[in-house]
Amino acid sequence: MANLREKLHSLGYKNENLSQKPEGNIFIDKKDGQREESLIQSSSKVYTFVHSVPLPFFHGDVLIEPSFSFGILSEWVKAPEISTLDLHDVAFVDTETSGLVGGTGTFAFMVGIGVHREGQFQVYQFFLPDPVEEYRLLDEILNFLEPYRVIVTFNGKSFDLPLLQTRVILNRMENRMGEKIHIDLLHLARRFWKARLESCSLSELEKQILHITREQEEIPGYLIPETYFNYLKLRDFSLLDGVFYHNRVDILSLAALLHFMGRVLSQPQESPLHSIDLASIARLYHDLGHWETASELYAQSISEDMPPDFLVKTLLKHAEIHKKQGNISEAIALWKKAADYGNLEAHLELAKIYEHTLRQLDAALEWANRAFHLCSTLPVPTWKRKEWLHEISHRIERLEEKKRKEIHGSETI
Amino acid sequence: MDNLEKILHIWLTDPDIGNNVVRMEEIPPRQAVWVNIPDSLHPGLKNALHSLKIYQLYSHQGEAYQKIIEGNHVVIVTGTASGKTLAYNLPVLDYCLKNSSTRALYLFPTKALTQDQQSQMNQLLQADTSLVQQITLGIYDGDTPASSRNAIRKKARVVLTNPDMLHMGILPHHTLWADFFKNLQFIVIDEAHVYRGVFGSHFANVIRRLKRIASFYGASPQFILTSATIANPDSLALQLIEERIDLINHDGSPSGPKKILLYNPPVIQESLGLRASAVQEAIKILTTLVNHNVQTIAFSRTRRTVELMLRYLKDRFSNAPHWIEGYRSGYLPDERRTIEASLRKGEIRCVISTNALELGIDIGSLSASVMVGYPGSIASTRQQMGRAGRKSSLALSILIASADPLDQYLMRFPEYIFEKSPEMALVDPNNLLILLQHIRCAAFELPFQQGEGFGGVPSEMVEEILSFLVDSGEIHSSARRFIWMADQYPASQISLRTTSPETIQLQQFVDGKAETVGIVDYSSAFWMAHPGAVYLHAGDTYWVKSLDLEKGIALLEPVQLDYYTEPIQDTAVEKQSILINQSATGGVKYFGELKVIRQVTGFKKIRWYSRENLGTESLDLPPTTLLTVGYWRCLNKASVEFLRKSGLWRNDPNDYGPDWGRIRDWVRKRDHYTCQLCGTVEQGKAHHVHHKIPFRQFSSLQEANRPENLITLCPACHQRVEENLRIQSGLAGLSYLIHHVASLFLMCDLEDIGVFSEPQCALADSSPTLVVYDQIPGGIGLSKKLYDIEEILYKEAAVIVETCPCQQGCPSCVGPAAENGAGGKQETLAILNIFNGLIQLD
Repeated sequence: MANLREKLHSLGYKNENLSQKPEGNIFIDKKDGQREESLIQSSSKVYTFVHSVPLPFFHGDVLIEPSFSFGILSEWVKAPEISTLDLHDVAFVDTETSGLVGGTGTFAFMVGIGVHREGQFQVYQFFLPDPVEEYRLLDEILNFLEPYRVIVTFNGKSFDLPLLQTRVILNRMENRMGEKIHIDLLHLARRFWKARLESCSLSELEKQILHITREQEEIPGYLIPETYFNYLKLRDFSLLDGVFYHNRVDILSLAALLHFMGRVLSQPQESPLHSIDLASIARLYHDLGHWETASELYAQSISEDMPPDFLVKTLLKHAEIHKKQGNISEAIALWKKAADYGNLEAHLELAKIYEHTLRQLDAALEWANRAFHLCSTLPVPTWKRKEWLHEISHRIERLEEKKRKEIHGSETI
Repeated sequence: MDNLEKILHIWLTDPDIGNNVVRMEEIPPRQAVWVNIPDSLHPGLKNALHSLKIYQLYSHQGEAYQKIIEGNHVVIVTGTASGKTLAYNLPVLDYCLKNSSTRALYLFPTKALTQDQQSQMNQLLQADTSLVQQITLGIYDGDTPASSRNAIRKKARVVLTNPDMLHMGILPHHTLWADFFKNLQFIVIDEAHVYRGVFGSHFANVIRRLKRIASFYGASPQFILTSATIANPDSLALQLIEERIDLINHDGSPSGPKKILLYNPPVIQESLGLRASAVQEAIKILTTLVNHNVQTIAFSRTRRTVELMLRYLKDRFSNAPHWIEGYRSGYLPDERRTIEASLRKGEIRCVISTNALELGIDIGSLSASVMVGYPGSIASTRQQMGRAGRKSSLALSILIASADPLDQYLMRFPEYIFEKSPEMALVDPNNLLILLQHIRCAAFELPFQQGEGFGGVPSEMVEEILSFLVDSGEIHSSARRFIWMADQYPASQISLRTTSPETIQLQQFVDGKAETVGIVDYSSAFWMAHPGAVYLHAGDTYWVKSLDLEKGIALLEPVQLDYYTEPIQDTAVEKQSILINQSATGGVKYFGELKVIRQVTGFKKIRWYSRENLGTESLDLPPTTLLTVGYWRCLNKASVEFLRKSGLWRNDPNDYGPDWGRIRDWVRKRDHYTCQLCGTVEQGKAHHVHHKIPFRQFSSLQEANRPENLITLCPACHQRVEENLRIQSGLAGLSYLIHHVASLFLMCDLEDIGVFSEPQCALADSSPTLVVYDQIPGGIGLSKKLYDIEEILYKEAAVIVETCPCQQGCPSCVGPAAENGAGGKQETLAILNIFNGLIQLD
């Protein structure tokens, strides 16, 4: 088997990047002077860098302060105990990994952790100079995270945390992260901006919301695994500058996002928000059961600037609260407005409320008939239209029957 | 006398049928061998068995229970419907009930079988209410909704899946399954005989990965395999799981008497030697069976024939069409479940199926099985025959021969079927390319330690492969560890099966709503669902309006047409590059890259019943190409000259004489330019003129070209007729022989390699050439090995031909001689003698 490689080649096995041999374990760092200041520990197993900023400071448009109130966030993460905590209990976590797909073979080679300490915001970056030492890296970050009760990530629910968890299992370690409260800002950001922004990726939010421009040093996420592999081959530490920068800015943006969203949630009425965003936040309050606030916010948000679809949806959601609270006339007004936009659901709601609650059969019949005509013109698949028409005509028949009985009944008296 | 005995009596005394029976074999009944239900069995299970009216076990079930409980790996090889499922379910469930954390993994080759086995297990569990709460089952495959996956991983005591899902969905994410693997006690591999050839070689490596992951979590699970009858179940099992394994093959289940008939359709056209079609004869036989309410399964070799037969037979029972159903891949899962259930309930009298029903899906025991054409292997024949069989009364299996030379050979030498042992199932888990792929996957799943082996692969070899991957940059090594280091997911690039997983949905619009009628795999869509095709599904006919390959949708319209369609397909092999070549005895050997192009170029419209060709239409479909590698071997001029001189060269074109052009035109005119068999009139292209008695059998030109010996035939009919009279050439014999011998040498399945020969082959400057190529994109080293070992290959091949007791050639050596033709045994042997250097060439 001496010529296994030739054999594989002759069998037609193809592999593009054959082969850049590592040139020994040379440690090259073109910017070592600057880096040494922040390198607090280099046991040659795991490197730890720290970068500190005195509080408060601006990251993009957002002021990062030493204080913060979780407020309604505690309900959103379903962890009421969070309201007794403050920023000293929070760790912002972001990993850089050997691959962008999941699975057991992908590992984190860098873990950035941002914390509030001694009036500063400190970003610790734990770096793995050789994958063989993964155990130590995991051990160090688990120890570091020990005192923090809350972890804040961006898409950590489906990426960073399962990945770390997998590697903890692979290294036969005990998982010590299970007990913590986890706030995944991606999920919250989607509640805020999904209706308005094309994407809720961190880079999009930095552009649209936080107004951050990354410097020249920045390296795009998809190039990160490759950069690390190159570092391992060439052992040139300066290759990683962009990765360290990328990770550090990610952590700062996490902190900025939490501050921004927390502030908006605590005083939504006072925040200068786009009407769509305001409606989205109203929806969040609505889902958490805060009908009063939600109702106020819906009312405040409704504006002709909204795309018609979204406006109609907002009207219907608002009407839903009024209906549940028994404010029938308010609900009717909103449904009528939605009906003006040709919304079938609003028509049907009106037909129902006139029939069952207000017992005005003529009005109910009127709305049912309008619904029938509307339905015939809506651009929907034939089978769906058939189903709806069937349902509506059933309602019309029933209403007519009721009406006949009413007239008949009054005659007999 | 029951119905079946009556029918048999009538058939055998009716000359129209009895005369076509070339052999009747009787298999005596077998008594059940019972054993008591083991005392140690969990009371809940005992109770469940009792409520299912099972008070005793067959001996092999008892034996399996004992051996499994003692901790042995076992392979159970007993007949169809002998209760193999219960044989492994009892000990596994028993153990799970007694040990509350135990988990088991069941592997089935198809999703359909997984569903079937789950419902069988559920039936057993539901027979005792206490069991259902203790044992949760879960199917984890591509169809499992994402929302229930987590619960299955966490809670299911028995997880049912398929090898592809294990390879792509479970092993690469094993940390999500940590608890499952920690407690994994049993791995059941059902229908293990399916894992042969390339698929089997991949599978064996997936098992190596599975064992490696299990051992990471501290588990060393016990394997239970089942297999249909093959020549080597224990050695196959050993290769698949690499553990010492006990064979359980004493079948304790009873079977009633059985009769096996070999039926050759009668000759209907003496002068052309044409036999009645196997399909029409089958319809005749099935009609009688259905009429007398004998529950029957008919096996046909293709999906198309299933539908043709279905249509013909349903026409005969237009008042009770529900008695007859079809069954094949492409039917929707629900449709299949319904048919299976109706079969079990006895509501269907006849099911017409492809080999899709060969696997162990429970359809109850049927009274008769009818095979329309030889299924291609002894093992398949036994499986299909095994579908008919009852506990005490008579069962019947009939093999109806097609016009293929192989089928006709079997009719002349029926002992081949009854006496030859079933084929070996071969695997080669150490095939370098397959092994390399799985070591990549394994490294992704768990870093390799220096000195670590991989299944039976020694650590030195593993390390060598790993170092190769280090050089290629996919793996990082330091401090005695090898760590996966590429931003990709290796399992997703490797398919265990050669067929592509892509499918085309066949849809029709009902009230503006798209509704899926059936599905077809991507490569078959070209010939089954091309625009203009008549697609037959469960006896209904649809016209294919359009085929959108990108969206994966073919649009159908239900229609009533008096015709069906037959695709016209071309296959061509092109040379891409020669990687190596070397002169060899009597010619040159080559290894290089090939492009195999298949294209459906048009289709014929065939009228139902009369089979009259109503016209041909051309199609503009993209070709499907297979880029692969191949080995080819040509004969040089001196070799051909030698063979010609010895009278053993049959590939020269016939010289029909100087007047042939004139004679041919005269015959076409005499026959009104119409095919004398199917009635198709010439359209643009001239029909062929055929010699009824082969030209080569005459010594004089005038004799051969007498008008009485000539007849006008369309190309399709001409081919059909020639099949009967074909004179096997040495080159064709060689290609048949090498196909079979090579798969033995390479430990692969026949389908894993493509073999053909051409008297004037473009791959080797128009020399006569034998070509063998890998049927897998890019190749997996099969043909390369042949290139390397061709000397041994041809020596062994010659031994096989020389020691074969046949006269003219047979399926065991150079292929069967055609019914009225001559075999190619001497001719083939002569070529081998040249290759083996036994002949002094000028």
